[in-house]
Amino acid sequence: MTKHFSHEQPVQGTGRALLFSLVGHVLFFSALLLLASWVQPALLELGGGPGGGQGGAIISVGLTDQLSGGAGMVKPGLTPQPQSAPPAPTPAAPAAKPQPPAPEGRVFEIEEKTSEKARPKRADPAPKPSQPAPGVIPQEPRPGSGGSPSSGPGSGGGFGSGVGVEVGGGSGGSGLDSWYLRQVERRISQNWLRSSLGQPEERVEVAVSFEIESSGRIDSVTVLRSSGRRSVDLSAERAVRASNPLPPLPPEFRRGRVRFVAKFEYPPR
Amino acid sequence: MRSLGFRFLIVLCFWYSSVQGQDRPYVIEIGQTAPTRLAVAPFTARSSDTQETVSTIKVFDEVLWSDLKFAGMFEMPSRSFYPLTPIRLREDVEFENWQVPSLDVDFLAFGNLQVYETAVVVEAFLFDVKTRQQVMGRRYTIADPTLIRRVAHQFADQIVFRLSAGASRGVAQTQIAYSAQKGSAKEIYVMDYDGNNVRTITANGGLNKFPEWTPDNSKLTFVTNLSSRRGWELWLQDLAGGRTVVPTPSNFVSSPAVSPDGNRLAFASREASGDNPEIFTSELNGSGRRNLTRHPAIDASPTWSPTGQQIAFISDRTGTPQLWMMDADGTNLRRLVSEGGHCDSPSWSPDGRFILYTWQAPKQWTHDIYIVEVATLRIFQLTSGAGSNENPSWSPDGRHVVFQSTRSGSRQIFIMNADGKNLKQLTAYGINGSPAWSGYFRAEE
Repeated sequence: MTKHFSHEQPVQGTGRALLFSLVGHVLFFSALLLLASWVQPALLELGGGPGGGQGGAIISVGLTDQLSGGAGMVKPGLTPQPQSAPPAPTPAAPAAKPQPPAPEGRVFEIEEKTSEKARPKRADPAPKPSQPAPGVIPQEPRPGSGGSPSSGPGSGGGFGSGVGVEVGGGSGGSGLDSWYLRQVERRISQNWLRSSLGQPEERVEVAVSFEIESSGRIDSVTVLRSSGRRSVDLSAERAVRASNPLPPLPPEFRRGRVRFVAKFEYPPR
Repeated sequence: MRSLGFRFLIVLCFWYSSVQGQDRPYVIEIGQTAPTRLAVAPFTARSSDTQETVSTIKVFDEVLWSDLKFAGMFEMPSRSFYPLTPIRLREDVEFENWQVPSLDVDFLAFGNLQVYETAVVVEAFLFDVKTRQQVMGRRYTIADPTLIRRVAHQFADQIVFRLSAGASRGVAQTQIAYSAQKGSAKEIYVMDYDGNNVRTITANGGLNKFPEWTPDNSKLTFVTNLSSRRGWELWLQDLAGGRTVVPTPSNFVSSPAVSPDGNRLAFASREASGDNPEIFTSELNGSGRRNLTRHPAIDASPTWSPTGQQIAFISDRTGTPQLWMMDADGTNLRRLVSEGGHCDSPSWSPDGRFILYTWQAPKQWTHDIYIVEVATLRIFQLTSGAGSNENPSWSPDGRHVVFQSTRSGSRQIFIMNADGKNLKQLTAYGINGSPAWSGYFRAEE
């Protein structure tokens, strides 16, 4: 009896422990997921390497960024000021017929006569990625951002270490660091030409999706959400294509291709 | 139990990794735009460097370059940074050499030209340097090298049209009419927008002033005072020859303007019984004439809004000449500028947003050019401190302004961007004034 009981007891104990463990893990994972979506950048930056190494990386991001900011500033607006955003009727696209065929090569249509079809309705908000606010891109390179990740390892390490390590590794493998994202951002911005927008009478927004292969090659460029003006769509598409190739994906990034969505907005908010 | 827990864990892990990666793209925001950087490689001879081919290429290159430069739409890095390899066809283009940091151009124009015995053939291309795709390719054939400027203007306009997404059709093929002093006479002339290719429109020995274009550029309207006749007449001169004298209420008439639909004229004149100028409109043949102002003050210098619904004009009904507007039937009178001083010669922008005018500040002797934004009545000053600047007129794309100025000593004609930059002098000899920019000359593809 006692033996039986004592034999029974451990079994029940194990079950309860398992149950506890399960619930605990579920809670933990939920918490971790929540946490991940909140402090994703930090977790992502934690990625592969030890904190010290990343710290170094972050500092170099800051430097690169200053350079990029400088490069961006070099280019001043060209349009005459009173012209800058005339809301009034643009000289409507002329009823021009196509010229005789080009002597050679294929003609890349930058602008189509029919570009002004169907006035865009007020664009609805940006295309929602499948999950809530991505927050993948740190907006500003903060020299201090090296500090924030420290909260990441603290929470990760405090709980069951095996799981923590696994998740940490996973996010490190699938996260692109902000340095690379900003490179992509900068390159595409430099190829989004003001003049190619014509004279937008209202705010324009276009979303273009594309993939980057590990070599940095840009592929599968498609307009995800049209601005309603073909010339503007084409200008955004061109900005992405013209940025090809980008630098190769960072080595710690394991997947072969990454999907991007570039949201173009003019004038910027 | 345990295996269930594990499965659950695995599922969770998968879910997590899918949330983290594959399904969700990285979203980046592009809010900045960049200026378009354009290179124009010197054109090359297609088959042989004959002397005529070389000299024609030289003219073509210069005209194309200055047209694109003046368009004010592109950053054009100095040719001293260009690769040295001559480009005749696409095969000769080494795209990577046009993307080095000192150049880093977005687009490259190049081509070839050959003067044959009976014709000149130009092949001109525009490539996207970054995507390496052809944006445009054109072949032009002209009868002889003297027409080469026109080909360059046309190619320049096509580039501007393409790279501005149709916001401008380019002004390189447009023309400017003006009035020039010849002895005691003033005659009407027309020149290309860059000051070349001057043609005589009148040679009647009288005073011919204030030319304005009809919207189709086929005619000019202006006022004429012939020594053989008393007073002023309103003329409609066909550029292909022939003219109409439009009946006016009296022998005083000034500053005519053609409505955007080309059907009506607005001008200042006196009623036969009156002694002060009023604003009239009439058909091109003088019928259906209406006095829109009927006010004892001086009303003059009408300009049509691009819709033809309004007319802006100058009136001194409050004491000094100021800028006013009204509906094209004379109703809804409204004052646009109330700064004192003297306003003159308004010109409504092609997009309807702005009115150019000149203003002489109180106790000043010179005029300067200003813009008033019609909706807000905000005022922008375009010229300052350089002679007297008068009679401004818009380019058809609304990006440039032509005007007369005494800044170089005598009265000459200048063009500039609509923000006052990029000034260029068009005439240098004699006394020239009252410039009027034509409309677009042909639809560009």
